[in-house]
Amino acid sequence: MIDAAVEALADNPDAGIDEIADFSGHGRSTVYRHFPSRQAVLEAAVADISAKSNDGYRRIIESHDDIRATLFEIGVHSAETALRHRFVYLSGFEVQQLFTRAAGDDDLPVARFLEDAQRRGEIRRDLPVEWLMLQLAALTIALVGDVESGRIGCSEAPRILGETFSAMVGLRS
Amino acid sequence: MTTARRDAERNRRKVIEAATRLLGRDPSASLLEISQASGVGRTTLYRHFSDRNALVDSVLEEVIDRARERAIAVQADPEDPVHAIRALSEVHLETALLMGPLIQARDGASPVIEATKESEKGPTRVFLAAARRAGTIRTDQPLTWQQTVMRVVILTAVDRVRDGVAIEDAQLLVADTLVSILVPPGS
Repeated sequence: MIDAAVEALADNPDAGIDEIADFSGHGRSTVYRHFPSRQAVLEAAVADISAKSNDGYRRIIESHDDIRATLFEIGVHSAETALRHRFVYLSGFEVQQLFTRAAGDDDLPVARFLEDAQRRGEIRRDLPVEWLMLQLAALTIALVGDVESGRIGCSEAPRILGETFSAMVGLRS
Repeated sequence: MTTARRDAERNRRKVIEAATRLLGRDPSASLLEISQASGVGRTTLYRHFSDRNALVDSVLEEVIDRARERAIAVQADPEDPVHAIRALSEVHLETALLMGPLIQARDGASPVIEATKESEKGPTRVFLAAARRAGTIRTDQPLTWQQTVMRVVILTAVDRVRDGVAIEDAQLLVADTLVSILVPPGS
């Protein structure tokens, strides 16, 4: 059902319960049993996307030897996820929350990675991790906006965010 | 200028000054309060500004014009991008802090602000273009993206200031962030 919701919203950011029902092959009442409202749908879809995206970040971080390459790939991944699911970023959903830790929240692999890297002196220490994560969120959102308005091509966008994030976070050579 | 025109201009100024002050503190300040604070009668106020949005737009125009003058006064030197970025982002951060409440005071998006986003003649864009030509700012990213980055980082800083971070600290965060993104590695 969540997959159907994600598909429906990707197809049309204004998709409602009817469209989700179409994509899922189920009736409206079945959909309502899972999601009492459109907001509930958005939240479930975003949670799902976020979880899968975090898996992607973990894979990137675990396979890293070169810090610059890892930072670049993190930026690329953030861009690709956002562009693939741009309905989230265009729906007015509070996207920031995907990038910041709520009190008691643990799993933001990128934030943990940055904290570790700062401790090891592998990245700059003068900017707090919280600030860096805020920038990643804001830049990703703005990137989607620039692609939507045609200022940046969809194919070069991930590379651009990768370089921007890497330059922002890394040590100056 | 005739006396009548001078008086009209002076009244307009008073209203704009009062509006800037009051709306900056409280975006819901009423036109009555503004007219009282300005010493100009309400009828006169309405002669100059047809409605609240018109007044807010005029205030925004003033803020933006002043910001433009300050940005030009920075004399951003393409050969010294670090200093230029610091100085320009200081102007932008202070301007954005001023504009926040004013934007809230208005009903709907302001055409004044939309116009600045597309502007190609702003001092910051002029600086970025010149510095790119001089090779002191990286050219492997689109100029429009570099403008977006500046805007985004500054707006994030505005949120932080509203959350209680000191302006000077926010300015440092902004400048350090932007320098690392815009200046080519190895410089």
